[in-house]
Amino acid sequence: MQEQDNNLFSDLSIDESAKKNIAGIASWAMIIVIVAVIGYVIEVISLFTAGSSPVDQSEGFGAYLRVGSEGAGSKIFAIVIGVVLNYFLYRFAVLAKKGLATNGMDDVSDSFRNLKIYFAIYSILVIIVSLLILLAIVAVL
Amino acid sequence: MEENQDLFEFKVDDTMAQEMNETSRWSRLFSILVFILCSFFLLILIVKGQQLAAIFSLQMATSESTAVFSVIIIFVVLAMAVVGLMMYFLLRSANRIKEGLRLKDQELFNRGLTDMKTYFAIFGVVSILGLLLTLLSLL
Repeated sequence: MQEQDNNLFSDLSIDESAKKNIAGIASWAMIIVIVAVIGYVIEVISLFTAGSSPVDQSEGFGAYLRVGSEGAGSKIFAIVIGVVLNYFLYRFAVLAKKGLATNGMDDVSDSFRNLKIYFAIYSILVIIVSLLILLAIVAVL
Repeated sequence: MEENQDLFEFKVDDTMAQEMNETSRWSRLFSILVFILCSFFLLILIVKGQQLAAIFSLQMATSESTAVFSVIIIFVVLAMAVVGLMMYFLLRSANRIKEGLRLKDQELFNRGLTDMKTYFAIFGVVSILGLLLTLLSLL
């Protein structure tokens, strides 16, 4: 009985300090999302404006333009992945703030679920990039 | 007074503890992978640095190619140092949150959250600087 009471009182809680920290994480996460979205908008605009430039007038820059057009595909792919990643970060920020404001345990749990997905996607991306680099090195050697 | 303060606190239940534990596990894996990737890049820079410089000067074909290459190397090393610092805080955060949850140590748990906040703060500042650089390059 004594041990049960001890366990009960030694449970972790989201105290004032934890709340401040989670709120801080959520605020910075929201800033990161906003900055990323502005960056994506700039990227998309620059893709469209670059695409409208006349190709025939660029004598002597054929190779550069070919690389540029291939780069557009990879840029769009990167933007799509970035949007997906930032969606989960955004969900984390919104749910964490809501959970802290209302003392909603479910919201805070859901927010950390979204943060987990965010880090999981990032980890898988890093593994894929590492494998691609390794393959490229093996191909060169 | 203390009772009032307790009203604004809530216990970490099993579901929340599980989500936080899995978040720390994935963030730990992520930070370790990035550490490995950065170390790999640094190793390539150290081992193949001279070859890379030669290839770069051939591509540039200008007298300033060595200076430009040096600036790029300094920028890459600085970027890796910042990424390394971020990953250090993320890894420490993951370890502290996990241990805090396991040992039910409130202070360790809170320090883990502080580390995660530091990681996101550095990430936020780097993102803002990146956006400013992008905007400057457009002018």
